[in-house]
Amino acid sequence: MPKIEKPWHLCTFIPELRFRDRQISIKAWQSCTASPRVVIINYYDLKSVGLQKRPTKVRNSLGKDDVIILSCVGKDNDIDRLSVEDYFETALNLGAEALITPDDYIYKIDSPHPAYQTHHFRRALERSEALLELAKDEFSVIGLVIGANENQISLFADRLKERGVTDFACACGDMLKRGKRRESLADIALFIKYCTNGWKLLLGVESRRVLLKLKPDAFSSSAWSISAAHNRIYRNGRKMKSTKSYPHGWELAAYNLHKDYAIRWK
Amino acid sequence: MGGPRKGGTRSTSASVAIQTTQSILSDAVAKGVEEALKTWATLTLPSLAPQIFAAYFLYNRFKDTIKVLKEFKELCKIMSPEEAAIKETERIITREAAKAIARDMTDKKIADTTYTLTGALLARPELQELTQGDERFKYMLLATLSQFFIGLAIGARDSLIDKASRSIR
Repeated sequence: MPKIEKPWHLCTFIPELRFRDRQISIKAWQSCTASPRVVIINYYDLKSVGLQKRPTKVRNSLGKDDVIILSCVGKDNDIDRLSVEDYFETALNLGAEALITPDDYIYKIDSPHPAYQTHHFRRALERSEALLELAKDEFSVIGLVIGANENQISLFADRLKERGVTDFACACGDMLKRGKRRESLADIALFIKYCTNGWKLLLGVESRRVLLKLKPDAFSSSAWSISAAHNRIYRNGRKMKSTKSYPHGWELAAYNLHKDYAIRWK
Repeated sequence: MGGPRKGGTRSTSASVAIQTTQSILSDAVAKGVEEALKTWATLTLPSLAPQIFAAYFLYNRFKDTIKVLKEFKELCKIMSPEEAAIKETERIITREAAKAIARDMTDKKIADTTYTLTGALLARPELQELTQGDERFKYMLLATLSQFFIGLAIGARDSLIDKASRSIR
């Protein structure tokens, strides 16, 4: 664990704010009293609602002193079309404090075609290096570690460490959804193993059981607002249909958000 | 054709092949029986599993020691004990190194590591100037270079094992 000098080092949960559900998520976030106020915004989510070119609107919908971390985790098509310069510019306009390096799709299932798999690994490395070069004087950079096997994960983490990155993230959402849970947990455990001396953030996780097993420094999820958008409530660690009717959807989101903040595993 | 065999002790290629196959087969069968016995014993007596594993480990070490002693005695017949000791030490080191190489450097591991390292190499900013951002060219370069490096690594491994096996004859 590095010296505590950045606001997100004090967080155990960093909510991801979805602008696709902004009717409920923003109001829920505004009503939240958590401190320090750190929030993750996904670049592709902003793009999907056409807000990446309207930073003032995004900034105004949050609190004045809210710390923004911009992430870049999304669908394969979006990843293919990503321009690192645009991503960096969006972060500049938005006044973000930190940037997470871009995601890429490196599937284990592609291992019979290692050239194709490594092509994406190389692209992810290149984009991370390009972003680090652009952002070195402007932002803190959180390195998103990517890889389909131990070799790739260790090499990616080492390369980021070489460039002075001390905060690391791992995109776990898709991995945990693919069904091979034990294998996915083993891959995430490798990320924890190779980033031992850094601050570790898991993206797309809200399961207390997973957090207890992997013991990261922090986790991030947007499930609180997605669940609320589908009228689902967190109860006893599960998401279930809300029996109580909430007059406003954001109340349900605020309740779910509160439940996420209450998760303890350390 | 049909004439008497020249020399009573001369071995034919077929007899050498049968002898080699027999020795490999008997070794494999013996190892298989050992493993099966060990597994069966640990499954039937799970409370004694640590002791069984310890005994099996000691038995293997004992077998190795006996083998080394036998070889040393054989060597002593044709050279001085000092020379025999040096020769036997060389054999042990080479044998263990060859075992470690064969165990740790499988083709799959070599391919995985080589592809990853080549990918990382091509991501270096110095090499990006060479490729000028052309993704298709990068893909082709990655595939070609990786295959070249894999060939190199596998060739080097095989020649190491080959040399090791020759030196311990």
